Amino acid sequence: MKYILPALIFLIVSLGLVRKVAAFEHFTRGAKEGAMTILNLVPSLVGLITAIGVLRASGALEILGNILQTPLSYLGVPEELLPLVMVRPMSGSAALAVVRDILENCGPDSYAGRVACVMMGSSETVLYTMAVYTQGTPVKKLPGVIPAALIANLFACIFALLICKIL
Amino acid sequence: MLNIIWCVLLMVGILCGIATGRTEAVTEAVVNCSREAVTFAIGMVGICAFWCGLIRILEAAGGLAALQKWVRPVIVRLFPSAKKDPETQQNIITNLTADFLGLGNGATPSGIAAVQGLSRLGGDGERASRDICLFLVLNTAALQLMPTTVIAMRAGLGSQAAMDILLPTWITSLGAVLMALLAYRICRGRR
Repeated sequence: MKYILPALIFLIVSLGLVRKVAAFEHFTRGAKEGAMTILNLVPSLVGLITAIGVLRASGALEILGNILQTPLSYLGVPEELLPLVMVRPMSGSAALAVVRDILENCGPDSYAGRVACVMMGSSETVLYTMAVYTQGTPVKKLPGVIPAALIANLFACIFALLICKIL
Repeated sequence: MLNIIWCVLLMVGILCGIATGRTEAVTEAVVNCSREAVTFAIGMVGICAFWCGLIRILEAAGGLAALQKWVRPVIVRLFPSAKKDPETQQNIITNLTADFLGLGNGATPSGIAAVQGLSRLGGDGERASRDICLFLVLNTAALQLMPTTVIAMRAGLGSQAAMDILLPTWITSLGAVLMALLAYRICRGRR
């Protein structure tokens, strides 16, 4: 896996050179878009990370963790992951804030940390996508979309838990 | 929805802090976490900007067109109502490939255009056609080549092997995409 990013960069840059495109100009244009995408997230991240920080500092997360620990430990599921499972379909930036909290408290290379990363990277926010993509259309009813997307999200969680055990 | 959840989270936190006698810790958390949130976002800007820049080179060099050519047969089969509308077909393909390459907001305009096109073709009015629903379901189980935000976050928080989650993430999202298709078939089939 350590070769993949250098290899992709090499491939893309050499392709750009062979096809004689203005590689650096295109790069800077794209990089600007990428930077703006993240910077646009700042306001919601400030709100959400602070809210989670308050919950952690107040001891509320510990209490929740203690309640959930027993049932979840039977299944071998780290209790830190439950907030992420609940938040992922609702808001992308909230999920990002929860993943950050998990990585900071359990460590990025711990089992819980790795599962959180896989969950984050393998599913998308259902409600946001539905609201944004149906803009400007008469579509109001979306039969079957929410249940199907939630089932897919749930399976993504289960797959993430299993695969991080094996790999 | 998030409006309510966010307020409740803060209120629960503050009340719980008072009950457990940790009001000072709560105050400290507000000051520190809001600052950390900005540093966290700034820390992700670099790698995400780099990746988006790279993908733009790939696009300019015709790599994106090649990728779209490969997925076209699958998309055509999945969305039969767009068969006679190449523009909508192209929008669906653009959106799904942009998602795959992690262009984030770059996928949104083509996604909206694709739903508009499908809604025109489907002609069901308020009730979304089968193809619109399928398109949205596929979008929520997006397969991603390089989850840049997750990798940036791992690297920023001191991971020894930030890239190690790639293979599990690919397997998981592929599984989730298949489950999304299957679950949609079942959920829609009942009606």
